[in-house]
Amino acid sequence: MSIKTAFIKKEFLQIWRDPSSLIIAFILPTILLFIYAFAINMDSLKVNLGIKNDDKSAEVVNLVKSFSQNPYIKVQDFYSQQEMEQALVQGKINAALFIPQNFSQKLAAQSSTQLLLLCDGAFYNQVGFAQQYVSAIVENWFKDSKFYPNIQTVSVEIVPRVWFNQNNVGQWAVVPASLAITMTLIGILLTALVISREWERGTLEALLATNISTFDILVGKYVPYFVVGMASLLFNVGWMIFVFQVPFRGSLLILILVSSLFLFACLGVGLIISSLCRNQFLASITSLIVGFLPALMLAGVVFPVSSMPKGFQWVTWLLPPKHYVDFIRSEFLVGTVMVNVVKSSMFLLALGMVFAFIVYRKIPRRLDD
Amino acid sequence: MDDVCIDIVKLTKVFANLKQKAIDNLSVQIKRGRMVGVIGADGAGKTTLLRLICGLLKADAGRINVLEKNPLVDKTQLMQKIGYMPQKFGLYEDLTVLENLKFFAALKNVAEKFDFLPLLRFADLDKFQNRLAGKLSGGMKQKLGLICAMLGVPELIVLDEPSVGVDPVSRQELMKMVKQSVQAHTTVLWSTAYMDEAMAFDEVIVLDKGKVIFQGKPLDLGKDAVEFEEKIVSLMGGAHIRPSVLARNYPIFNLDAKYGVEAIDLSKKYGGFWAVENNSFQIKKGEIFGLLGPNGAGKSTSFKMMCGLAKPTSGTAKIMGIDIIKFPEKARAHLGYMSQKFSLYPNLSVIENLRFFAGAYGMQGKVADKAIKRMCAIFGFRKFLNVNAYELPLGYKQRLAFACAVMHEPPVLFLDEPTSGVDVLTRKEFWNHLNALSKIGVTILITTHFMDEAEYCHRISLFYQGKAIAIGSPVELKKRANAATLNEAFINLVHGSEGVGNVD
Amino acid sequence: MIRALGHLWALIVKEFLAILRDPKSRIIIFAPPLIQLIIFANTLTMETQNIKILAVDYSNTLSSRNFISQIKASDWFDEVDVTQDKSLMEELLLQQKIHGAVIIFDDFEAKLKKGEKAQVGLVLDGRVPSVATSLQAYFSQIAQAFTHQYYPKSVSPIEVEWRSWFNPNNIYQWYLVISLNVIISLVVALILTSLSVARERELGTFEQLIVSPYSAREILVGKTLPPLCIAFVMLMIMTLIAVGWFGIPFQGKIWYLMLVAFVGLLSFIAVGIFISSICRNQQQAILGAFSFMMPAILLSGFVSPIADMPKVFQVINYVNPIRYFLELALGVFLKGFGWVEIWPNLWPLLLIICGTLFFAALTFKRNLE
Repeated sequence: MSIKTAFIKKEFLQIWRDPSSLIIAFILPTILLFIYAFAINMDSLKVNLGIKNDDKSAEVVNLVKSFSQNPYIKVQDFYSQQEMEQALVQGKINAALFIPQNFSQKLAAQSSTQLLLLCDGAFYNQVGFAQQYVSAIVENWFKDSKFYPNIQTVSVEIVPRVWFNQNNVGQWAVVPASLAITMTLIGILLTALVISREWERGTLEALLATNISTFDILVGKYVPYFVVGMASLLFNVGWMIFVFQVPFRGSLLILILVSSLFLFACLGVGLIISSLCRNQFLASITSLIVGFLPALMLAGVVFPVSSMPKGFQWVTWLLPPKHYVDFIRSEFLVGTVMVNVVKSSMFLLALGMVFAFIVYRKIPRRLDD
Repeated sequence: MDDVCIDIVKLTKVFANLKQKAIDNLSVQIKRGRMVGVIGADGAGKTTLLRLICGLLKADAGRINVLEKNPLVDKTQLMQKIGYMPQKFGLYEDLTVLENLKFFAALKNVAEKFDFLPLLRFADLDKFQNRLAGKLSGGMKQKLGLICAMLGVPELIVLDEPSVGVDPVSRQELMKMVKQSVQAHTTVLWSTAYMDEAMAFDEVIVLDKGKVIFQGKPLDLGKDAVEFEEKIVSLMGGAHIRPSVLARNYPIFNLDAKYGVEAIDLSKKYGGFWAVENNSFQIKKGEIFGLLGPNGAGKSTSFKMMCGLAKPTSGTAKIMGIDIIKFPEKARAHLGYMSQKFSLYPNLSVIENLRFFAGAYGMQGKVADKAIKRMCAIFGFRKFLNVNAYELPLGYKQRLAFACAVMHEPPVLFLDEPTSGVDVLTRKEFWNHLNALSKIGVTILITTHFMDEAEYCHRISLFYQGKAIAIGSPVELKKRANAATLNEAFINLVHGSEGVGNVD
Repeated sequence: MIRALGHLWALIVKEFLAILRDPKSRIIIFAPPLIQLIIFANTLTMETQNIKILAVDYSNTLSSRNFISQIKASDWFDEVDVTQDKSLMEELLLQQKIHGAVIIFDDFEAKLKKGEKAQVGLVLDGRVPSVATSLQAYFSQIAQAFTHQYYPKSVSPIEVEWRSWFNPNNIYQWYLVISLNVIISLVVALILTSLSVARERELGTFEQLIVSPYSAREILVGKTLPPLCIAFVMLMIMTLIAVGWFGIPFQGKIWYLMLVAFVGLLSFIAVGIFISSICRNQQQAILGAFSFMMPAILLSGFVSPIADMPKVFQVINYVNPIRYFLELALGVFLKGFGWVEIWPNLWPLLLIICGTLFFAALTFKRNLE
């Protein structure tokens, strides 16, 4: 048995003895897939709308009814302005619509009129949706109402067609991308402690006194976690295809290839932390404080990278999940787009190599290094 | 030059956080095929020297040649020829004995078909080959470490205090193992704080403050261990045993409890196996009571139950008359505890550890400051005050742990192998304190592997296979076993009980 | 009494030292979170920006050019390329060089002149649904603006005037910064506590702690206070940054904010202690912290509102402390919550604290036996 194989075998045994990392690697991504698939929805939010209607004409009552018929709106009627505003403060409703007393009169007189919509600006997410929904419903109601002037009107209708994801199913795009976030963190956490633990427990001293080379340690620390990570990644790809029914239009081979480059880079981040920290406490806080939020926020899943300031977008290029998110979404929904695959792979490979080089330089060679 | 194994010229090593040089302009030559003991007080530079030889540290000045190679430059080639056993158990606690062995065998390019069984049998570990290394007793761990270091027939074997925390029987076995397995041209470097071991070496190197103060045959120093020890002590500047300052300021206890410690039918069952069975004894106030027995005999478990670290399956223990199970916090306030495994905060400095333990036992302000100052003066922590506890030399770690246990002046002390890894001078100092403390009424429960120390105990309880097979004063025990020395008594009593043990 | 307090004080000082003594951990605990707050606040946005779009103009008439200049006039778009060749579109879209394409058919002008509905095709990239959804909204606004400008008669007389309360200009940064304050302090508080007991257990110092005359309750207090103080200081610094740097108006009472911060952080810490009490070593502890943090943040309502989640997740969310803390922080900060509004979100936190600490104390006790 060569030194490398022995080392790899030893790491596997250690993983097996404390299977907490295996459990996390396989179970957690699955739980997160469910959360991303069903609980994360950024495209069609429901709005709790309070309505205070002072115009009791039949047409306006119809308008109120059409609000409550809309599946995205939950209407709550109010009779006092104060009560409705109180409800808005307490967050019981997201927006409050005031229909003035003379609303229908003014419309009948063909003069322009206003509706007031108060939104809860503290919770940003719903504001835009409330405004869009209300405008659209009012517009539709107006067109069908008796107030609609019977003249030919000019209009431009936008006919959207969403490519690659015909029904614009948010799930389909979010679920594969979420894997990028989860696997980044799992990749980092799997390896973040593996060298610092040897420091702390004193085994590194015994190791360094053998003729093991730094390269052997490097390989021994990469390979086992790479295998675990890949197994977990493919396991979750299986979930996505067979359980979540996300269409897979790409090539499995390419998926595996690019995923391994991605994982290689993520493990590198964890190993850099691990080789720099001489105790597990420091390695733990570093990996979570430094790794967690950037992976979650900057990968481009929750917040699209293209909307970030342009100068800053370059920074995200240094983050492995960014490239993987771009790749995995396309691979699933579109199929292999060779140009992009090559680009993502080159970046992931370059990042992975740089990280591995840093790890190689930082693996301790002596106790007073 | 062919017969020179290690050649060191004017070597110096400085650590940033220590005021004095760890290795100070040291020159030494070691010939091949010798078994060399490296002896020295705590902090004399033994570990640093061994680490420098193995290329684990980089020297600040000087030249070092090991097997005609520079350990830093030709590390990979050299390391194939060296077997090193670090002071801290350097094996993987979450791997089994066999897995550890196989792993280190592969690192040393031992053939894949190698049969480990003879080696395991040799170390008496064949029955435990599938046990996790972390679950082995101290002696077994050291044996495992040793056979791992000897794998691949190295030309140089470097052992850093291999006999720390090992009972005398196992210690002799360790020495025997090394002697039996090495070939004529193999050099062995063995650092130790135990003088009785020194006589077994071909040559000893005595270190003090980073310098060699003696190199030669042990017989040149003394004809037996006792004389040797005296010579070494005088080489190190002589022992100055004064009346214990620690005991002088200690309050005298007049609590109305009759016994300091009582064990009442203590039993502990792990699964179907009784680790301790119906153990009862009383320790009078001011008595030094020793728990002896091979590693794994149940003395550690009894010890832990009595200070509330493990819950007995049945029975209980009382500290100064207070039931440890019913009133744990109250009972523990009367207790000073020093564990076998170093268990102070490794990332805190010496002074911070002292401050914490002062506060933990309710000392504050000037009282605490005074107590801490006293401890620093008694145990000589001045130069280490701001050093992290994990960076201390082994002996100083033990002193710090002892200081933390006695600082609040408890009437009862629980000391689990307090002197393992401590140099001979300090051990004398320790016992000086313990004797003085016992005279003013402090009850002391102690476990030890040193037979000479066991002689100092007022009474001894000998543990074997979960039972106290004999209780009595050292003199009584020797008489009962019909033995001249306590060591002999110990072995006779254990063998005697084995016959009995086999019946039930 | 004073003696008892002094004895507790020693434990608290020790815990502070254990966390902050190493200069490296001091830096890691304070610097990255604050840097992250500032970077995220300046870069993350829910508003889709920097859009690149291709206009396929088959019509190539005055009207179509007017429509395109209407697109260019809006400031969402970074690049609007005009072409008459549809084949280009497919390739650009596939390679994600554009976010979408607008197709103006050759009958565009004719239809407008006849006073009919003129259709405009919008091809979107379904891989990034949030961008696709915002593009749809943007284009219907552009279409409206277009008709408004060139065919003013056709405009509906109803104007839905909307106002965003508590955040008059509907600035996403306000919501983001306050939420990040909560999430970042969660990360810090949770990591420090979840490691604390596990670390002592692994180093063997837990034994020494148990033998000293501390009760399980005192150990809990000693383990709770230092991380609480650190997270509290952190949260206050971040609040100052929110007010001072980002200019978010603080509407509430500072005392209420402190109360909410205290209870909220304590709930995170209680969860951390609970994780720590069931973990044997530091590896398990950080995996545990991570497994709690990731789902809890995603489900908290920060990314997408809780009301939109399936029932199961809403039920799970009843025990999610971040959700209550988030609501309270936004409420006190932007809406000036009073006691009446605070209480409904405060008592669940108190229950969570009691529950988790109770279980932690129970496991401590069991550990002793």
